[in-house]
Amino acid sequence: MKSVFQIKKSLITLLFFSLGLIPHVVQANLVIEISEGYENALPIAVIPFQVEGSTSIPEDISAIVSHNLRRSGRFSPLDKNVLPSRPTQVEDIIFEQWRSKDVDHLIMGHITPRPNGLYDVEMRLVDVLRRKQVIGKRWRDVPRQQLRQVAHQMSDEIYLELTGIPGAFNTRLAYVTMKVRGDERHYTLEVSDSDGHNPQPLLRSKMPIMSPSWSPDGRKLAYVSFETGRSNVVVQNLDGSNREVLADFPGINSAPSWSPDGKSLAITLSKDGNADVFIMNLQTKALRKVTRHWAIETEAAWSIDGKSLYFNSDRRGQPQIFKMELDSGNVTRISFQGNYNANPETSPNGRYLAMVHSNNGFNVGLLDLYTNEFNVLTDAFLGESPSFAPNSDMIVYAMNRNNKGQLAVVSVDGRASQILSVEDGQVREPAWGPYRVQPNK
Amino acid sequence: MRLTKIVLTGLLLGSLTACTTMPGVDGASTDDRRTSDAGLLDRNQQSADEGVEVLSLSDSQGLEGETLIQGEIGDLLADEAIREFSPVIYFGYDQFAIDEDSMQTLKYYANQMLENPRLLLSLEGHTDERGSPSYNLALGEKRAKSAAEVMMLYGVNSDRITVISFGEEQPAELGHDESAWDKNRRVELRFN
Repeated sequence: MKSVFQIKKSLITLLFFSLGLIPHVVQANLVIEISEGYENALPIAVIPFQVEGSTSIPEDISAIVSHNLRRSGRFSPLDKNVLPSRPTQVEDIIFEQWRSKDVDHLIMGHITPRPNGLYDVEMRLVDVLRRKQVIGKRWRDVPRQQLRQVAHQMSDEIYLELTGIPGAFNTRLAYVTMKVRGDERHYTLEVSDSDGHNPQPLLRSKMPIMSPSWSPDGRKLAYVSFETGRSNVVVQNLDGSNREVLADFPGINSAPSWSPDGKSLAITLSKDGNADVFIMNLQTKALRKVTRHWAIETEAAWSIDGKSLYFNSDRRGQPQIFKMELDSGNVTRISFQGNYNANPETSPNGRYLAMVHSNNGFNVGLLDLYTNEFNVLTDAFLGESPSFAPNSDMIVYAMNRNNKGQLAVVSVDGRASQILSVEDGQVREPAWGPYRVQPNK
Repeated sequence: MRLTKIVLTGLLLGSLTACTTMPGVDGASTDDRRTSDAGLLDRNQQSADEGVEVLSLSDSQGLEGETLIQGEIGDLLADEAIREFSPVIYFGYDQFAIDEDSMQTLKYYANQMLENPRLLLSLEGHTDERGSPSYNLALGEKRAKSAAEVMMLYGVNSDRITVISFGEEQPAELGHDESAWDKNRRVELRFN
């Protein structure tokens, strides 16, 4: 069983860099399709939030929270039409009603529009078994355009309380869309909320855009643009304050990856003859050559301590993942399953290495660096470009379905999945951004 | 070949293309370019077959060059020639080796370049969509570089060759099956 939520959201063009490439195009919305979560999803009740006064509220906060919990695969929110009652105060809850529905937790809240056009939003999470409130929180003076974000923030808190894992709902995705218009291809680098809402363009080009990579502070994106006719590595501030070409060397300039401290960028250059991994000091722009091999060496990913790089090398014939300790230069092979492993990505908690894996078809493979256990997480056509959520719980990746490039999200235990697609065109090269607010663990 | 050469020669109005048919004259010599910069050279077509060509200076300040649209060989090559060797070579899955057919194609265009010292070549490497995009970008470059090496072996100066990779980003065919992938693993030759 699948359900489809169509997102209808007006375009907010916050950042449009006038490269003179193409005129304004109406922004495509991402469509989210949630596959049913795993069988043990916990029933939970999200009561529609009570609105004080008669004004209508531009965002359905309880619906956003409900969708978030549902697409995590861990929760199964009750359909709001079968709720036995809609209490608005903790004192009004008849706990037996919810016990009989196997519901252990209730979420309820209030939204109060204020005369100044802002909103106060209040949320309570109630433990039905213990008959007590476990979270009570109020957000004051919320502007209309941040109501969705508040819904994501409350989802994060609820997720942390119920699972022990900080939620990653209040985060963003970067990705590239491609549309064919006559003989032209139109590429757009976009950033959306983690649920695909609010897509905003950062770059439009008639030439390819590749490999967006978030700075650790979430304020910049490094990516590859072909706007000059060949690959360049560019870094762009999301707030529009700066855009800079970092690498425009002869040959390819590609695969940017930020160091955990945000001070360096690993990139692939072929200026010396063939593709090798370099580290660029972002302050001085000094380059350090990391790999030296006649084979293709590319797609570097930093270990979370910043002391090693994982990278892809075809020195054994086909691509496999290797790891280099930056101090000693020691290289060890990491991937052994299948005949093709590429594009390593480290999970922010340091436990996993995701990669593009092929043993017939291309999928996302996951290596547990603690146990060395390897699993193929997906059953997709042309799966590629895995990227971890900042809580290391989910992976977004690109794949092809119905002849279209689409994004999909899978949990690291493979239990839940969802698909994000654009109605008209391809969407590729996803990169999940960091936390916008560091969670208190 | 013969037909093409004549067409070329005619179009370039005698920019020393005939020199390359002389025995022992190799490649696009810089002397030739210098001479043609100084003035228009004419050739005696009748003697071409003997391998010796009598060249004479004619009185002219220079020629009006035609801008060629990027990616097209324009009028320089006859249709027949293009039909014979379309300016693209193909590769096996995850391969960058040049096969026999591709060698023929590259040899043909290397000769065109030797005969037309002003032609510049851009080799654009592409891959199919399978696997990781950044790896494919590097693989596309390897394909284009393999082609460049062959062109150099046939005598084309490396200064005249530019190598660009688009990886999997610019497929020739938009399908997602073997037949589309076969056509997308390619190096395109673009002259300007």
